[in-house]
Formats: sequence, C-alpha cells, structure tokens
Amino acid sequence: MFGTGLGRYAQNNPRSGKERMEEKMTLIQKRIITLAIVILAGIVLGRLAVRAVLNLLVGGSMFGGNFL
Amino acid sequence: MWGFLYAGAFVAAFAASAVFKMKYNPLGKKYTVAWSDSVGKIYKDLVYGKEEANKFDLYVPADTGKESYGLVIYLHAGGFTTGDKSGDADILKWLCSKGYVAAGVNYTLRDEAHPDTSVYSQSMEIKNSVPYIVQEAEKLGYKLDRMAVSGGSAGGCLALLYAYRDAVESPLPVRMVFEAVGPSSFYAADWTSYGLDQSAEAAATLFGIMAGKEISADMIGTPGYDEAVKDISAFMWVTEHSVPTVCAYGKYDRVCPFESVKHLIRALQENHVAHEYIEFPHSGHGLQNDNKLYKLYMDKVEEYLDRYMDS
Repeated sequence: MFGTGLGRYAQNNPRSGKERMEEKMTLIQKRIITLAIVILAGIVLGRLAVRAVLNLLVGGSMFGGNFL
Repeated sequence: MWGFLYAGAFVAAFAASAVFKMKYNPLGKKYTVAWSDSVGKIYKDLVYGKEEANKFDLYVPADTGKESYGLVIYLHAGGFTTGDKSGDADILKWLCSKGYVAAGVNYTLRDEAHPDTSVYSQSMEIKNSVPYIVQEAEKLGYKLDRMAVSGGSAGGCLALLYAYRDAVESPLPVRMVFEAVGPSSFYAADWTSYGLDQSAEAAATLFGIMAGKEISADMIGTPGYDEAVKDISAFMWVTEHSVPTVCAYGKYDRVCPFESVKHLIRALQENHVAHEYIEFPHSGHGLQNDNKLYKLYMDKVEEYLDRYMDS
C-alpha cells in the first residue's frame, strides 16, 4: 500500500537527483547543528554542575559573578 | 548511530567542561613562582615549641644583601581541626619571591588526641612562635625589622587575633594583616547556618570549646559572654591603633557565617583603621564565584604589602 502510494507520489512529484542531493545536505546540516547544540548544552551543564557542587559544599549562588 | 554520537558528544563536553572549571586558576600564573635556588631557600619543620605541631617552615629570599627584611607569616586553613603549612607553599613562595622572609606556621589542631585545644590555645601558640621565627631567620643571616600576618579561614581568624590582640607584645612591629574568610566574632545570632541562633546550649558549647572556657547558655547575650569570648574575637581588639587590614568575605558563606563579618567591618570603620574590605556577592567560603573580585583582593594585598611593608 505504501509502496503504491509512494510510487504514485513519485510519479506526481518527480524530483531530480540534484533536488534529492540538496535534501540530503540539509539533513546533514540539521544533524551538525543539533550536535553543536548538544555539545554546547554539555559545556554549560558541566560548568553548572561543578558550580552547584561547590555551592553545596561552601555556599554560593548559581548565577552571577563568574560566567556560569 | 547519530543518537550515540549525540550522547557521546554530550558526555564528553560535560566532562571536559567540568574538569576545565575545576582546574581553572582565576589568578593564572601571576601568583605562581617557578621556584629555584635563585628565588630562595626553604627550611622545613623548624621547631618553636614543645608540642608536636609546633613547627614552622621558613622561606628565605636568595638576595641576602639587604640590611633588613620584612617577615610575612601565613597561617593555614582547616577549621581549627585540620590543615598543614605545606598546603600554603604557593603563597609562601610568592611572598618570598617579593623579597620577604615568609613563614608557614603549624599549630596544634583540635582532634581526638588533643581534645583540650581551643582557638585561644592555638592563637597563643602562634604568638609564641614569632620570637623563634625571628631568631631562626637571624641565624640564617636575615635580620627582620617588620612583619605582616595573614591567613585563610581558621588561619585568617588567628591572623586577625595576632594583628589586633597580640601586636603590642610582638617582637617585630606588625605593619598590616591580610586574610580571607576568617571568623572574627562569635555571636549565636549570627551563626544561623549552624543553627546556633536557635539553641543557646549549642552556641555555649561550641563557643566555649573555641574559647577554651566554660560558657553556659544563660551567659549568651550578657556582658559576661563578651568577656568570655573576647580572647578569640578579633573585632573586639580593634582600636584606632590597629594595623591596616585587607580582608575578603563571601556573602553566601555558611562556614564563616557572613552575618558575623559586620562586627569586624564596623569596628574598622568606627576606629578609622585603614582597610580594604572586599565582599564577594555570589560566593561562599571558597570565594569561588567572583574571580574578578579575587583578583582585586590579591591586587589590594600587593598594594598594602608595597605600601606598608616596604622598609
């Protein structure tokens, strides 16, 4: 059923190899951006975790003063 | 596959960021000395008293050509129950590199083997150490004619006591004191982080131990209480003749409760004592969240050393 539906779609919406290539590049770009966001989140949370632990031990605020 | 990559990247970034933050030194290399014989020499575990802990390390500068030298004593932290002079090697080396004779002094810690030790007895050991330090320095060819005293946390408390209470009897004129997060007052109402504002008995017990005296709960809040803790309350000894002071405290400090600091600052202000009080608005006992202010604190320490400790 799906194969038939897809086949009909492809028939009605033919795409060139160039268009398919552009779609693929966009997916990779999205993945790289996601990876960058994940890394950034790791960096931020890593610093915050250390700050949180030190604050628990000796007192301190979570924000303000040093950058994270 | 990308899921694993995301997870791995997150964990790696998290770990690297955490390690970097833990290892980062906000002062950089400015106060780190590449130590060698061309900077100075270290003499360790010199004896100043009969107690096992009565030892000091002496850091003497390589330049032996001066007529006289200034002594800077740095007292270690550790809640009066732990710590060692060896932990302060970096700052002692830095002080020595500036041309001072520097001394790290151990004192008897309160522990199971020494249950009668008090902040008062520790302060008296520090007081008794100074003549021995002077003597030892002179034996090594360094004539001392002035001194500064300093420390952190428990060491800060003891430094303030020497500077304000004991300076009149010091064999060397005390020119200044610098310290961070050292308790200088012991009022139950201020020590809320320990719950002492809620329990007069607990306050009397703890402060009695620290003062080395019998303090009862009904003494709290009376003139008799002030008298009992005076010997360990540095702020009570501040007069118009007290030495210039650089001090730093964190607003979120639960170890040396921030509320207890106001008495010292008020005493310094009311007696017009030259001082720099640096308040760390986001930090606790480690002064860990305000790196710019930590740099300012060290700048002020250097400024005061240059101004008051130059011959």
